[in-house]
Parts: sequence; structure tokens; C-alpha cells
Amino acid sequence: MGIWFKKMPADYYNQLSFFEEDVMLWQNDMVYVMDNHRDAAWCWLQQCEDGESYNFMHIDRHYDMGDYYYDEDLEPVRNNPRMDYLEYANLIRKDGGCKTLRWDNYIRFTHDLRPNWFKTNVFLTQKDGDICVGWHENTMRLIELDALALYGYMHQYLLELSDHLEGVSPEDINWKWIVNIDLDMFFYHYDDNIHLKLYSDGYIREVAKLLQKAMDKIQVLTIAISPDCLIGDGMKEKWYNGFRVLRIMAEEIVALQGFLFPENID
Amino acid sequence: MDGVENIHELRCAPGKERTNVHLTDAHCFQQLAESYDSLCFESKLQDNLLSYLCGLENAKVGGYHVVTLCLDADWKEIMGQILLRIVELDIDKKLEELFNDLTFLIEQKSELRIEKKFFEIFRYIDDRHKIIIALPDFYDYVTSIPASDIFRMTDFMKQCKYVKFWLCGKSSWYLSTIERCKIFYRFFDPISFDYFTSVKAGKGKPVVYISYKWVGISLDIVDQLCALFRKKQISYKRDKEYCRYNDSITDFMKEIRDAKLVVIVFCREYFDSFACCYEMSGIFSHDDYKKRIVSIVVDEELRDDESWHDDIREYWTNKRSANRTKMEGLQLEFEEQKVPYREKEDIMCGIQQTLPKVFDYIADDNAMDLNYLADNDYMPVLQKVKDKLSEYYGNMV
Repeated sequence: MGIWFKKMPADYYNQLSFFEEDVMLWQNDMVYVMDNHRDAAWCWLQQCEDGESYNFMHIDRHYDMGDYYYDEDLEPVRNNPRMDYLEYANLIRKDGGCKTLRWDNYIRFTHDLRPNWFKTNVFLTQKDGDICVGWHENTMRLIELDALALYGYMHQYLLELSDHLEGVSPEDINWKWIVNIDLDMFFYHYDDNIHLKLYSDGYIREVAKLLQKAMDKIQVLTIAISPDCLIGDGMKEKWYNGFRVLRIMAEEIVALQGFLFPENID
Repeated sequence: MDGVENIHELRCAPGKERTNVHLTDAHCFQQLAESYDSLCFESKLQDNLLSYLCGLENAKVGGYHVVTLCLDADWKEIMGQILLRIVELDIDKKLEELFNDLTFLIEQKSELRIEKKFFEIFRYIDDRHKIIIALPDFYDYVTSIPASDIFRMTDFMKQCKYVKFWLCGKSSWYLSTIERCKIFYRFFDPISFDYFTSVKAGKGKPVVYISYKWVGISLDIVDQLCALFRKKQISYKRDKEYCRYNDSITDFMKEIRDAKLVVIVFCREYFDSFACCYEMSGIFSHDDYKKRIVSIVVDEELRDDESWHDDIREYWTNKRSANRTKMEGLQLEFEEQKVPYREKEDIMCGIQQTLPKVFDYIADDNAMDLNYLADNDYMPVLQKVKDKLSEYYGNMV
């Protein structure tokens, strides 16, 4: 069950999953699983309609709100939004400095292409990473909520959305959601010394149950494993910890149940 | 100088080494201008820095005109608009034209994009003009413009050969994890390769090691070379500066043996030094040793004079023999005392085995003539270092 756009190789843990490099991308129904979050933009482009409006929920340790691309870099995607995954993954920034899509710029990139996909923008993060200030301040309004109450806010915004909630306009309450999760949100890092799992398995399970319950309000659910940002001694263990969390979610989210974990891949 | 009395010092960060600069000490500024092509400063009171720079005596620092760029608060809404203030104009027609042109740009509130404006500014500058451009509100500035304009600005700056850039931001902005600050910082640190490229390849920040004998001309060469590295903000390690009191010299030598890039200054005395030859044997033990070495040959005889080579071989044969004699002279019950001699024996054996390889390398290496290097301020060595680093670490930013 499900489609591999980029099949996970047997030695996945030896592959680079960092910044602009990705190892795998899988889809079933409206749920996508990837290792590098930069692929999320491609998934949204496949799953969302150009003229339609959506709300956006970002659950991630980082903001992923960099703007590290030129205006001209939007053109290839603007001209061919349903481009092949490999073409998208290999787009190179105008100055040749790096790939166009990176793990920290794909949201802003998509917003520049499809501003109507970002009506109410809920951010549940650990406030890590870049967020554009100043110049971009007025172009994308964020509702930043306290990640400690992650479940509660997810419940409110996904299941009980109303214009009484902070930052929600009456016209936004009927839009479906783009839900964008990075598993690194469930972990905490401080410098190189402190690496902890922040949320319990039970909490993660409840989050997954909630997502399943809200599935009819979700247009697309993108899940990034981001092994490089997880805890573990070496990449193999980091991947293992990512799959461990994903397994819990797969037990509750129907569309995830067909995901082929490494031990089940030929 | 309004406000200057409130600031006592700036911290500048060439590379990651921090230096305090006392604002009241014009000499200190002059030294910086002469020593570095670019500098990043931090200050808690950066507004005062602007007034300080504006008031610099004769508007010159180390022979450089000081130009301050600052973003006027009212203009922050307009992308890429920069207010320029020429601290003091030389009686120079071209600079006068520049000033008029800038006044025009400012008055028109032109909507030219930033790279165009920089072009307008710098097209007047040639090798006769030495200008320091200071951005006192740097941090505010870079966080208020799109990243694409930062890319354009740094691309443009790369083309400006005769301009020095001094950036000043609040606190330690250059240590910021904000990517747009990193872009600038990488730009100012010529061998700070793209952080991600370096990290994802499992490589740390590039550092050049220097292996040399503390003697005469070798020492002079290394002093000059290090001054050049500092000026170009290339991270280097040499025993004299890196190995402080109480640090382990052995650990440092081990670092050199495994270093990805070492400048070796070969002179006759180098081959008589146990420490130098220990470093050398380690460097040459790697399969890719040729990639790791940039050599400077002080004594030309080392290239092809067999009598010199014989002399060096004999020196090590005798040294090893003397060590063996000492070790064998120790009685059996003092077995533990033999350990250092055994270690020395192993090292010297390694040195002896390495010598033919080293001689072949020196004979074969297209090292440049020492006079030529000195006449060119060791720039060819710098270029080789950069090339080798690029080879190893990938393209430089």
C-alpha cells in the first residue's frame, strides 16, 4: 500500500539526509512521509488545488521560514507546478549556490507561489531556526502558539475552529488544512550535550489519534522524519528513533498503516 | 564626537578570535585597517559608532577613507534603499562625482535594486581609492531585507577589490545562528566554506597547520605567512601561537601529523629536529600526503644534492644508534625506564623509512623559488593553500 516517489534504500542510514539531500518519499492517500522536510512543498503542490484556499498548521522544532532563494527561482515551479518529483528535488538556485529547495525555505517558497494556501497559519514550534523579520513581516501572518499545549491547540484549531480563536478570520473556518509535522518537534536539543525525547509515547499517540479524527478536515498531511535532528548515537540510531515515533503514529493513522518500515522493505 | 564618550571599546572578530579595539585609540584602528581586508565588529552602542566613524580625524584610517552606510529608519520600508554618508571627501573629482551621484540616488529615493546601487557606487572606485565601508547597523539591516538581496550584495562585494568592509552589529551578531548572518560571515571569512557543505561531508572547519623549524629564515617566513593568513582570515595553527604554556606539544604534533593541510617549511635544520621529523613522518604516512602538503623549500640543496641527503640519513642512523645504546645500557630490572627509548626507537625508525619519500617529494614538487615568494608577499602560497582546501572541502563560498 502506498507509493514510493523515492524508495528507501536498504542502507538508508548511510545516506545523507541533511539540508538539501533526501533519502525517501512515500505517499498513501493524503499522507506523505519524507526524511527531509523540503519535500513537503512538492507534496502540497500535488495534493492542493491552485485556486483553492487552505489553512496551514506547522508542527516542528524549527520555523522553516527562511527565504533563501531568488524570485526567479520560483519560475520553474510556477510554470510546471506538477513537475516530476526528481525534477523538483534537483532544482538548483539561480546562483548555483545550492539546491533551490532546502529544509529551511520550502514554506516561504510555497507561500510566494500560492499565498491563498496560507490563510490561517498556526505555528507550534520550539522557536528554533530562522524566521524572517522586517521585510517579510507583513506578508505572512503567523499565529504562534505555546507548543507545551500542543495537543490542546491542535484540537482547538483542527476540530473546533471558530473565529473566536486567536487570529482566525470568519472566512477561514471552512478551509481545509495543510498539516505539516516534523518528528523533531517531539525531541529537544541543547548544544551538543542535551538530547531528550520531549513528549511521551502516550502523548504522541494522542496527537496521532487526533490527526486521524481530523482527517476529513485535512487536505494533506506531510510528515518529516528529519533523522538528523533526532536523538541517537549515530544516524542509524537516529533513524531508529524516528521510525519508533512513526510506528506509534501509524498505529492510529489509517493512511500511514501501509508504510513500509525498513524491516519490511525488500 | 557626540556620544563617543559613552563607548569604550568594540570587539572585532577576525575569524573567531576576538580583539578589543579601543575607540579612543586611532592607532589601533589604523593597525586594523592595515592588517585585515574585512572586519566584523560587535558593539552594544552601535549608534554611537556611527557618530564616531563620522568624526574620525581626517576621515582616514590607515590611509583609507571611511564611508558609512546606514539604513535610515524611515526608509526601511523601501527594499534595498541605503542612505550613504561620505564622512569626508577628498578633493578628488571622481569622489565628488560619486558624492553627487549618491545624493541623486538618495534624493530620488530611487527604486533601483540593491546590486544596481552598489554598482553605481563602486564604478567610481579604482585602485587609487582605498575605502573602508562601515555598516554600523548591520544586524538590523540584514534582518530587514530579503535573503536574495543579501546574495546579490555579497556577490557584488566579491568583485570589489579595493574596498574594505567593516561591519558592526549588536552583540556577537557574527555568532548568530540566523542563516542570513551566516551568509555574511562566511563571505567575510574566506575559507569558511559553506557550513552545511562542510558539515554534511563530516568535515570540520578548515585549518591550515604549519610545520617548521624555529630557526632563522624559516621563522621569518612563517611569521610573514601567518600575517598573511590573518589578513585573509584563514584559520591556521602554529605551535608558537596555538600551543600555550602547559599545553601538550605532543598532542599538537599529533594534530599536525593528521592534518588535512600542512604548510611545511623545509630547511636543513628541519631535518635535524626530532619534533619536526616526527610531524613530517606522520604527514607522509597518509596515502594522499601530496594533497595535504604545501611546501616551501628554504635550502635548494635539499632538492637534489645527494651529499645533503646522505648527511641527513647518517644523522638519523647515528641518532637511532645512540638511542639504542642508551636503551640497552639500562638493566633489566628497569624495564619500565626503557619505554621512552623504545617509543623513540619506533619514531626514529619511521623517520628513517620516510626520508626517501620526502626527498623524492621535494625533488619532484614544483615549489616556487623563495625569492619569488618573498617578492610576491607569499601570495602564491596563499593561493596554493586555497586551492588545496577547495580540493578537499569542495567549492568555497
